[in-house]
Amino acid sequence: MRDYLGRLDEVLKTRGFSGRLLVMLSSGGVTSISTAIDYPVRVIESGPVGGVILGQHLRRELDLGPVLAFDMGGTTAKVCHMDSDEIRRASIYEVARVHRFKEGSGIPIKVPCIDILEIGTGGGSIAHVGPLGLLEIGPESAGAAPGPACYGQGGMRPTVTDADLVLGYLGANSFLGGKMALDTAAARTAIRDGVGAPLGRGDLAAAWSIHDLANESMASAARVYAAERGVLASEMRLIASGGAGPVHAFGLARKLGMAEIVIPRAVGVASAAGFMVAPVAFDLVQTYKVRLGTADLTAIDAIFERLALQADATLAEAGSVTRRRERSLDVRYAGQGYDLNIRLPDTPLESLGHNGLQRRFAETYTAIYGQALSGHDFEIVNIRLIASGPEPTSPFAAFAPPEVPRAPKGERQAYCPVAGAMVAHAVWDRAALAPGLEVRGPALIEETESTTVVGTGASIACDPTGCLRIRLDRQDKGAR
Amino acid sequence: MTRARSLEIEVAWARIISIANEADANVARTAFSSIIRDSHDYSCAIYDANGDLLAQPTTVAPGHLGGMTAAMQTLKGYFPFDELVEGDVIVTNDPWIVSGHLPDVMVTTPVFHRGRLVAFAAALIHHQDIGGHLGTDTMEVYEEGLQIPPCKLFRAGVANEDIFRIVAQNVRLPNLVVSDLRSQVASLHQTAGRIRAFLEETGLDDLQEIAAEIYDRTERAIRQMIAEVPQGIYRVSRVIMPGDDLEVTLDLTLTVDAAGMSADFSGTSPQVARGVNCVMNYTTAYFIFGVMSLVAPFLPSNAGAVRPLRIRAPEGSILNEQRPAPVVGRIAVGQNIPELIYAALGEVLPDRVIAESGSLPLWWLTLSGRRRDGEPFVVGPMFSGGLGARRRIDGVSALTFPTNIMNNPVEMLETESPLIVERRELRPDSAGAGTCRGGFGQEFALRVPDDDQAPAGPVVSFLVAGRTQSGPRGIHGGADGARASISVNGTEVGWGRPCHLRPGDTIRYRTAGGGGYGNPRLRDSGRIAAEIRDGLLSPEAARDIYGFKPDAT
Repeated sequence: MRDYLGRLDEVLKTRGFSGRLLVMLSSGGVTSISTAIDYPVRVIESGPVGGVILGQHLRRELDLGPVLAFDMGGTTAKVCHMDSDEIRRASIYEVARVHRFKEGSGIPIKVPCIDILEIGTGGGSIAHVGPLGLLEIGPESAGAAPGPACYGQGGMRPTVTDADLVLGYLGANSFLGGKMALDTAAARTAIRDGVGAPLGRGDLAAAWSIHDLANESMASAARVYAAERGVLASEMRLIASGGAGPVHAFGLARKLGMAEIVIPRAVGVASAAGFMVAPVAFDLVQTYKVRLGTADLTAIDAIFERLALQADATLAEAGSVTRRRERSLDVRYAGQGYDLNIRLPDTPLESLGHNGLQRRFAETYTAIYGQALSGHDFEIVNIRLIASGPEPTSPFAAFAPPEVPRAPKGERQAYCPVAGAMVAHAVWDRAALAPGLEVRGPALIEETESTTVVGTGASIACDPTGCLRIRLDRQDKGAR
Repeated sequence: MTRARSLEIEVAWARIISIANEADANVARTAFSSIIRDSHDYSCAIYDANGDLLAQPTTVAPGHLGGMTAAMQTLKGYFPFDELVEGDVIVTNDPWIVSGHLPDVMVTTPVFHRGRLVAFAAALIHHQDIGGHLGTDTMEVYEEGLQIPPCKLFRAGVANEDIFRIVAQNVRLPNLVVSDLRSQVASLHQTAGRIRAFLEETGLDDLQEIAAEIYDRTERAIRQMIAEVPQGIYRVSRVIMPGDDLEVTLDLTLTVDAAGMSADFSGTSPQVARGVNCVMNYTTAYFIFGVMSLVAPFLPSNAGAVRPLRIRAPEGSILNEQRPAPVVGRIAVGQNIPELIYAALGEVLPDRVIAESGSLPLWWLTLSGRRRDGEPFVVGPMFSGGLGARRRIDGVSALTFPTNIMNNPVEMLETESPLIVERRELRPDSAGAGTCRGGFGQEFALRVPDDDQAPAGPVVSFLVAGRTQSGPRGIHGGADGARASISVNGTEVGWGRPCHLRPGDTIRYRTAGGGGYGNPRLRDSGRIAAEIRDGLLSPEAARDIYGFKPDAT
């Protein structure tokens, strides 16, 4: 890390870079390279965090309320829930899962990180028939090489991307803005051999099963994720990014009962865009285990003071100043093994008092688990402080709708699950969807990095900031 | 099956499994005791309207799952399913009805959708304490703690507080156990809600069509897999020592034929006046686990999977013991069953089996006492030896098998008791040598402080263990793993009977290493060198057993 960052910084300077090199942290802030060198573990898996930061930025800018940031790439999908200015954080992250991305099969690392769920479903996930004679998706992935069968690089096994192509959701000649032709015949053959023939399903039915099961796997994981955090997926908006995200967002949102999907600009580089809006920040935590009833609140205030000074110094090193301090305590019922993070107001704890603290904890506990327990003592476990600098301004230039005809560029046959058949979908260039224009699904909206698939029963519009907003009609119960 | 098929059975199936996983997550996040959230010694399951096993979460213990599955059928006799109403919760820990010892308390609730019974949500927790004597030196089950016959813990949503009071009065940690019991029930309600929401969304009336389809598919798959095992009658006999002075013979005749697989344990020793007897449910559970782990490791365990399996153990034998024989430490005997199956089929399935494992049985330690201020503590860390080697892979070190328990962190043990963990490390030279070696056992040393943290009075250590007489056997030329041992202040002691520890005492538990697979002389020298470097293998052992010459690498 020291060598790599040092070299990067040096080379950038010799090439005339005069800015300040900052490094993204797993917890959602950026920091100086010297801090990153001192705490290398804090940057683990920070790539996907950028997408979440962008989601948070949009949530605020567009006043979206609770959102689920959803990013789907080649190997995995990631989701993260956000419902306030605080990004949900966890204090443990599991890396290098070896068994089917299953929880518990990796190495747990105790670092502050954004609470992202990783799911082993991506565009390259291989569809196969499992021992029950039922379709299974992944966790094996064709990756980038050989990649999906339709890439024509020697991949023979059917992937989610192959299904998306056979279903007409991806255009054989418009993938990556037309720079990479996809081989529909190869995709169809792979699906027929790997899934259709063994299951006795036709090409289309097999392809739809793959697409739909991929969505179900992601929806199932998102439901468990939401349940563990005491929130409801159906009340969130979905922000979709990643190459495969917009292709699967509609199906996923339907399964989760969501009302709206937001597709940001620069959908294929959401993580990088997120880096640009991340503030300089640093997290500090000090373990301080004490029963709440007998805790010395002035002592805790003093620890907060000390952490604040330390955080200010770290921020200064990255050329920033502290604008915001988030103070919180990890609290649990004495005896429990999982704690809840309780946000504190910006006043000394003394003024809140023991009762005020207990009330806050009981309220949070009730919100998540349904009922608080009487007769149990509380216990403080950790004292946490996050200091952050000013938010950078938006990396996006103001959105100016391009001067192009406001009309679909064509039409493509794509699969409609309601009709159970291929039907004509209008194909739009994303640039042609200017604010003020509303289009009804089914439609396919193409841009260089992805294709947004919208089924029947939804309307699509571009908002003044350039985001696509897809509103799903209310579904009657029982309909799929 | 028309409606269910049209909505894609795999999608529905994925959804049902995710409901089971949500139930599992919910128990862990609301439970109070370390045995649940750290050791994960509990299991959730979803049963169909007939009480047949439909789905399990990713993590369950075989003994729990098998016990609950058998219990669902027995409970029909106590509470006919058509008389149950929404909000009823049935509870029991009867060893002969559920999973074979009293700490395992099962709860289940019927799930109704549009007025019809559609499923059961069930959860079993190994509670941190159930009262009774702490030792396997019991004569009858009455000494082992509180027995709860099948009864309604909730009637139509109203708690029967009498039962909670009876539980509280009979256990050492009333608040903890009662809180855990309430968490257990809370998870059932959440599961019931998810099942209803699923039916509501999909427009299905019930789960029976999906269930029948999944069972049939599972049955077809397992029959196919059994068909790959050469037909024949395989016999194996093992002598184990589930106590320092207790020898027990386990005899298995395994028949593989067109009908499936059947086990007959005739010839097995009779039940003993020692708390290591297995009820039939427990024996059945580990037989099913043993067979599935060998022939069908990726199949779900459900009502379809067991259709081709038959089992018989003589009544009154240690594998089918009769009330009121004691049962608390049944792991010491029952967990050997998968290994008997591997031994029986080891010659015909050499790529599938593993050598004998030091992780079996699980080491279940209970330490009970009072802190200086009189506050009682009971902690129950569980730990394991090394797994047996496979044909091409080394045995995994210090991992539970065949049950499914997580490691209990040192920090938790030190927080929840006044005891100090002196060391916890892999035992060098404990792995059975082989082309692939067994897993390493572990050394776990605990000290009772004698300073201002010293407990008031003695600490009772109760341990269920095994492999203290001889190490797990290697196979196909592999060497045996090191035997296990327990010592107090350097003097070797036995297990089973309660052991009283006093301030200043250090107790050391050394679990067995797994057996090796294949000739040690054929082992890759790079791996040998790496283990010497890591301090896991002594240069002497490397030279004597592996014929390793340091210069050769």
